[in-house]
Amino acid sequence: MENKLISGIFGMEIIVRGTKILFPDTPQLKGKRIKHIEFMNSSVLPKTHNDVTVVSDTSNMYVTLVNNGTSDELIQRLNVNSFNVNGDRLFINKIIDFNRSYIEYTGADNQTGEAVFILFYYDEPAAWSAINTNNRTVIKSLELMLTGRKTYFPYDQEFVNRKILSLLLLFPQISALGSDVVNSTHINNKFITLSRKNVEFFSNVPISIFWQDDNYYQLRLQGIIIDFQKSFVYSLTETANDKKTLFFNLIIDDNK
Amino acid sequence: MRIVQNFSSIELNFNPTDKRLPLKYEHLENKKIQAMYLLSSIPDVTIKSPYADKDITDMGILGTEDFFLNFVDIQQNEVVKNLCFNYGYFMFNCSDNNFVEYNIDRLIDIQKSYIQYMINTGDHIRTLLLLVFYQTENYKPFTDEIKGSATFTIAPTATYEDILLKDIISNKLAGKLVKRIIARDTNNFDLLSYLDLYAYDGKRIENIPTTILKQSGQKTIYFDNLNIDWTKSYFRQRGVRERERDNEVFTHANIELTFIY
Repeated sequence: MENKLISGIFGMEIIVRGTKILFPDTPQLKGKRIKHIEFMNSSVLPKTHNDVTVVSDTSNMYVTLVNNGTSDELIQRLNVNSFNVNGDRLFINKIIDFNRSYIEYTGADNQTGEAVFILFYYDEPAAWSAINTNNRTVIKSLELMLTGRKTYFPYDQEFVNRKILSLLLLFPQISALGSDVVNSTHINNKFITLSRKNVEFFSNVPISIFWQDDNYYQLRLQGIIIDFQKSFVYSLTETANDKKTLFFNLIIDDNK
Repeated sequence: MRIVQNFSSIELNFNPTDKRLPLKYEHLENKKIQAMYLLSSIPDVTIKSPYADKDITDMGILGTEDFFLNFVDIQQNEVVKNLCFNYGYFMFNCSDNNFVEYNIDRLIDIQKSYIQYMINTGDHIRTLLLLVFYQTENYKPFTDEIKGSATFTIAPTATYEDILLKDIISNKLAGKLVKRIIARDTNNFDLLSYLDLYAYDGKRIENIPTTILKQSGQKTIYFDNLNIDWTKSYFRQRGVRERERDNEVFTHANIELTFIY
């Protein structure tokens, strides 16, 4: 099924300790309606944004999510690998009580101190917009030349108050403006944070999720409006391969 | 889901010594464009152009090749800026029919629209197909509910062959408004053919690659209730793939076309 419209993404790092691992306190997600969740395994994300190794043994790792305000276990002992099959993300559509939700791990204990990394896709009213029914769109390109560990997006009048419907990462050899583009093999150490009016509605999001070429279903953004000057890409390393350009195509709502 | 009212395939030839291909094609003029994609071949699976016995270039093994669409509408708005065709978002090939939906919904200024490209390896001309979805009138009311269907088998006998659909299609489809077509190679090979359809009311589906009509479980292409003139419409075989299986070589597999109305 198609992904649901989302306007927030939070990348959660959960450090493995013991067999029952509670979710960390996460104010950003409190009271938010979670649309989809997605587990990222170590092959697509070797390290978290804090440089913590992502667990590799996931066959004995199960998630339980409790519906907020009830004792209802919305997700009960679901293996983490079931949360994303080629872009076909489980539709949750609930507010989660993270204080009572947890991960069970029954495998070897040599993963203690490593991290489980889960993306929560949610509704963020601070960033969303109404979507017009006829879906008239324009497509623009966005190039970001990475200069170090943290690179802010430049100001561009073209994107001010524009409602973005899709963010697609691409890998031409040379960008339209003539820059060397980051190779697809060098993106799993990069994270994006997007803001609007001081609300970080995409936080610690692996940039690889925007490479959706092989996905059956692409992410659908609910007309998100981005303050690009307050938004940035963070890279865990600063090699020559990292200091190249990221190239995006943006599909933008253009109904007047 | 995309509803196709009209469609055109345009053969594009990219000369490596140039960097810009203007979209000065009459097919595009005064048409409200919905979306554009490219069609390429892939390694070992070559489809030919619908218009000539000429191979569509295989993307991916030739080195650096980057293609960017730039589209200006007749009000001089830059509505597509550097859409990168390189990956499956906006490019079909003989085996992959996933795509990203978008809807430009504008008349194009063909004098100012172009594809910027960079070819850094090899000096031969690259031939690709530009697939254009466009609208000429208001869409008819749409429902995906099926009223009926009919399946016909086509048996191509040559790599390059045109088969008049009137000779294949039975009277069952006379007067039916076709809303979906499913194409299938009976040996589950890649589809290397096109459908060239005329409708009685002037709608035109000009050489749509059958590969994008495969039932894939992904995105579905529907048509805007086509009343097809079978006496003018063709199935065009444009390539053959051989595959060995259990010591038997399969060639010229039959193609099944299911018309849903």
